Order: sequence, then C-alpha cells, then structure tokens
Amino acid sequence: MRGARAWRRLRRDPLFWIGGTLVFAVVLMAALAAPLSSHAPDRRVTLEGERAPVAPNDRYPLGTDENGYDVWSRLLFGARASLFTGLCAVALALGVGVPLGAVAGWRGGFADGLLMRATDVMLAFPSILLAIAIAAAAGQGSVWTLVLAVGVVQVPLFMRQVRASVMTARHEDWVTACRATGLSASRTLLRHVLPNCLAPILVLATLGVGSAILSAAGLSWLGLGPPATEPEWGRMLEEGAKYMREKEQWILVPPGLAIAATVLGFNLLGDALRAALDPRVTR
Amino acid sequence: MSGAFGYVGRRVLVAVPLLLVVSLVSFALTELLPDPSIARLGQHATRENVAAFRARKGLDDPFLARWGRFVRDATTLEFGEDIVRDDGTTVGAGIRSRFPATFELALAAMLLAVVLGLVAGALGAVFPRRLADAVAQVFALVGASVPVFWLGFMASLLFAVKLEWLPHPDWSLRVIAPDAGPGGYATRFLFLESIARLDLGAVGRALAHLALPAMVLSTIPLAVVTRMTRATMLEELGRDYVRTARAKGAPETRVVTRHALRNALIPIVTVTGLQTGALLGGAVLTETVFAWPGLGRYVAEAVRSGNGPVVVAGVFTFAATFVVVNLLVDIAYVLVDPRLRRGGAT
Repeated sequence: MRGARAWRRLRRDPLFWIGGTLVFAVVLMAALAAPLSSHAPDRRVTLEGERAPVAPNDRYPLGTDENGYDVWSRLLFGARASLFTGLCAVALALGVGVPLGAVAGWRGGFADGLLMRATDVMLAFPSILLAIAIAAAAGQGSVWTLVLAVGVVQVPLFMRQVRASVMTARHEDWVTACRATGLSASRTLLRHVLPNCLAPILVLATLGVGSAILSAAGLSWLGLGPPATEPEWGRMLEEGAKYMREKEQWILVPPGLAIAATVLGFNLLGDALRAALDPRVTR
Repeated sequence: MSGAFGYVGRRVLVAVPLLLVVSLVSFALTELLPDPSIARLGQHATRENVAAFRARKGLDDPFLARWGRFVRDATTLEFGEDIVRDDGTTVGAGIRSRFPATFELALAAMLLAVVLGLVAGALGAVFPRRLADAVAQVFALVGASVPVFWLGFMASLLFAVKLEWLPHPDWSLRVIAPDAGPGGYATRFLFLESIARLDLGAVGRALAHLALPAMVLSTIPLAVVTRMTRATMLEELGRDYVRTARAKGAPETRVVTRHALRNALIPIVTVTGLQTGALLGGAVLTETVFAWPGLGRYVAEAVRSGNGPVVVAGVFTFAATFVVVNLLVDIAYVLVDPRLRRGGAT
C-alpha cells in the first residue's frame, strides 16, 4: 500500500528522474567498463615517440595522463572503484549501525545510554578528519582502507536513526498486540518493528552512498587510498594537480565531473525518496 | 538570570567529560598509527636504535601514563615534544602557529555560507516554487556534491589563472602586510589584526587572498543552511502571528525579516553550529589545495610523513574546537531566547 503510494509520488518528481539517470549512467560505466574502454586502465599505453601527457585524439578519447595511462579507460574503471567503495562503506555502516541502534532503541536503559554516549563521542570528531585518521592508521592503502575509513564514520548516523524509529514504534498499539499474541521480543523486533523502520534507513543509505563516495575521493586524493596505478577518480585528480598552470589543464576536468555527477545523483535520489516516503515533507 | 547561569554551568560541566573521552579516543590513535620512531630514524634504523629511541622518548610507558601526559600537555596547549623533528620544539608550537589561519578561513567561509544561505533560503520561502527558489536549491545541492578539492582547482583556474580577478592565495605576513613595521604582527590572525590596526591596505589584501578558499569551503555548509532556512521560514510564514502582522498592515519585507526570520533563527543557528564539524573537516582538503598555512594542511602533511603525535594532537584540536563551538552555540541561544532563560530546561 505505502509502497504504491510512494512510487506514485516518486514518479511525478523530476528530481528523482534526474538523480536516477545520473546513478544509472555511472552504473552503466562500471558494468560496461571493459567493453567501452579503449585501453588497459592500469598500465602505460602510449606508443614509442608519443610524449605523455597526450592531448585527446582519436586513439585516446580523453587523452593520457603524464604516465601515459589512458584517461577515458581509467574514468570507466574508476566508476567501479567509486561505486564499490560507496556501496561497501554503506553496507558496513548498515551492518554495524542497524543492529546496535535497534538494540539501543528496543532495550533502552543502560545499553541505550552507553551506545548513545558512544555516538556522541564519534560525532564530536569532524567526519572527514576521523576518516583520515582511520585510513592513516590502517596503513597499506587500498580500496578496503577507504571502505573502512568512510564506513566507520557513518555508523553513528545509522545507529541514531534506527534507534529513533524503533523507540517510536515500541510504544505503539500494534507492537503491544504482537507481544500479546505471544510473539517473542526478538521476533517482534525483527519481523515487525524493523520492517516498519525501513523508509528512513533507505533514505539515509542512499544519501550515505553519495557522501561516502565524496569522502573516499578526498582521502584518495590525499594519497590514503589505492596506489597511483589503480584507476580511482580522487587519485586521478591528485596526479593531474601538477598541471594546474600548464596547458594540460584538461586532465583535471573528467574525474572531478565524474565524482560530482555521481554524488549529485545519489543526493537527488535520496531527497526524492525522502519526499516520497515521508508525507510531511512538502516541496 | 540564575536559571540561565545554572544552565550554562551544566552545559560546561557536561562538555568536560566529553572532551576527556575525545582526548582518549584521539590518543588511542597513537596505538594504530605508524611508529613515529621510524619517521625519525628512517626505514633502515637498527632494532637497537629504535628501542633506545623509544625508551628515551617514553614511548614504551604504559598506555594510561602516556595518555595522562597527553591530557596534561593538552591543558597547556604544548602537546609534548615533536619527537619526529626532534629539535626541542613542541607539537603545540606547530599547532598554535597554524590555528589562526584555519580559524580565519573557517570563520570567513561560515559567514559567507550563513549570509548566502539566509538570503537564498528566505527568498525560496517567500517565493516557493518560482525560478529563484529552484535556482537556489539546485545551486546549493550541486555545491554540496562537488568535491571541495576539485572545486578549489577549478575556482583558481577560473579566477586566478584565466580571469586574473583574484590572487593565488598566499597567506603570509610578507604578502598581506609587507609594511607592518618592525616586529610585524603580534599575532598570526592576519585578517583580524589588520582590521584592529585599521590598516586598510592590509585588510583589502587579506580579503583578496581569503576570497578563493573561503568561497570554496563555504559550499560545504551552504546547502544545509539554505535548506534549513527555507524549511523553517515556510513554516513560520504560515503561522497566525504572521497573518496578524500582515492584517494590521505591516509591510511584507518587515513581516519577513523582523517577524518570521527572527523566529526561524534558532533552528538555523543550531544547524549552523553542527555544520562547523563538516566545515573543519573540509578545511583539511581546502587548505591542502591552496597551500594554506593552517592546521588542516599540517595534519595532512603529518599523515603523509608518518608523524603520529602531530596527527593525534591535530585531530584532538579539531574535535575540541568543534565541541567548544557547539557549547558556545548552546549558551548563545539560551542568552538570546527569553523562553529558555527562565526554565533552563532543554
């Protein structure tokens, strides 16, 4: 019932379609990276006598970087890295945050107090800074470093959201009814209460993918992500930075636009979902 | 008034244990970060040399003893010796010399975001669903989605390289106030001190050099401030007192600015305070792009060079600043809002 109504509202929202198109485009780039790319993304592809960076031409649609790596191919495979990082980081935050938040909201009392003070402490740190520290501590840079760093800092957001939803639901009549029919507490929580809290979690998760991709790009740009050979958008910007005052400034444009478009897509989708799922939100 | 003071006292008392736990979490990073003795002695140091160095610098003491020293040194803003540089300077000296640049950048960015956000959000609420509203919303959303470090490149390409309207930011006394006289400035708050000295040339140069990084950094809180303003203003404009004000013939601009905006300010201020965290985090990236001599770049460089103690002290300083800003925001609106003054609750 609610799903059908939400879909009707969603369908009429132009922002949903814009966001959806952007995200779909990035998913296509990631899925079809191999057939669409013109060269290998992680090694030198320039020929003898070509001086890298090569300007865009027929052989290299977006040119090459200073190491002779093809920018277009790296851009396509970079979509994989970004989506992977964003989705895994949110999965990590969901996996830790939802159970802890549910326990805090359902049990209340000491566990709730302790868990909420823990989120207070985590939220006292600027999130990017905490992510930088975690990535630096994890050492050996890879995509997994990014996933861990940007995933952990999102955990308290999910904990708080789930706790708030569970606490609201806990005192409603239908929950009492569930318990009165003899359903166990854990079954009531898992089968009835949590499914009713899905809407805000879905919104938060969608927005979370966007912000995870944005933060991961920042960390990777600082050199805390995968090594320079691996195709990653933030890292590509770091490599291009030295050309800021040269004529090869175009190297800086594609990865930045790609990050911005992807993050914007997830933000628009998340906003549209929130508007469709929450009848109180008016535009 | 005693209620207000009681409230302020309680908030301060809550902040102290929070700061202690924040210091514990920050210091626990020491255990995870790369061994600073490697950064000092190099990759090829012998095991004996490393062991002797660690023993000399007290790195092998029990965790609680080292944390205790960290807290003690933090209260004097010294943060202990910089063992990687190992030249007798303290980490605190490095932090204190860089904090002003970050403070002025963050302040400028926040002021810019609040002014733009209030205007755009209020316009959006007064003329909802019109062109100006849509433009403001889209602008804010795009701003929030663009990575600040890339925006920094693009903005300097456009304004500093192509158009040459603004200088490449160079935040040094030599550039901002070349004729400051013997001894230069007393502080490193170049902008604030040039205002205090009524040195108009220096104020102008400081503004020109602040413009690019502040603009870029302001995109982080801008979207949230704009939306919050629009949403609360829409709500306030629908209330009875607004209808009353209009009915008695108050001009619309007065209704919007004096009546509705005033009442909408409290949630906006709260959200702005919370956005300081994102702003300070963004400063790490923005400062690195513009070679801004602030705390953010200091931390980023310490991460690269494996200087763990500087990373820990920098992370703690940022988090402590954020905690203090939110404390000040809480206190500010109890003093501003008479409803909160009496009860002291919430």
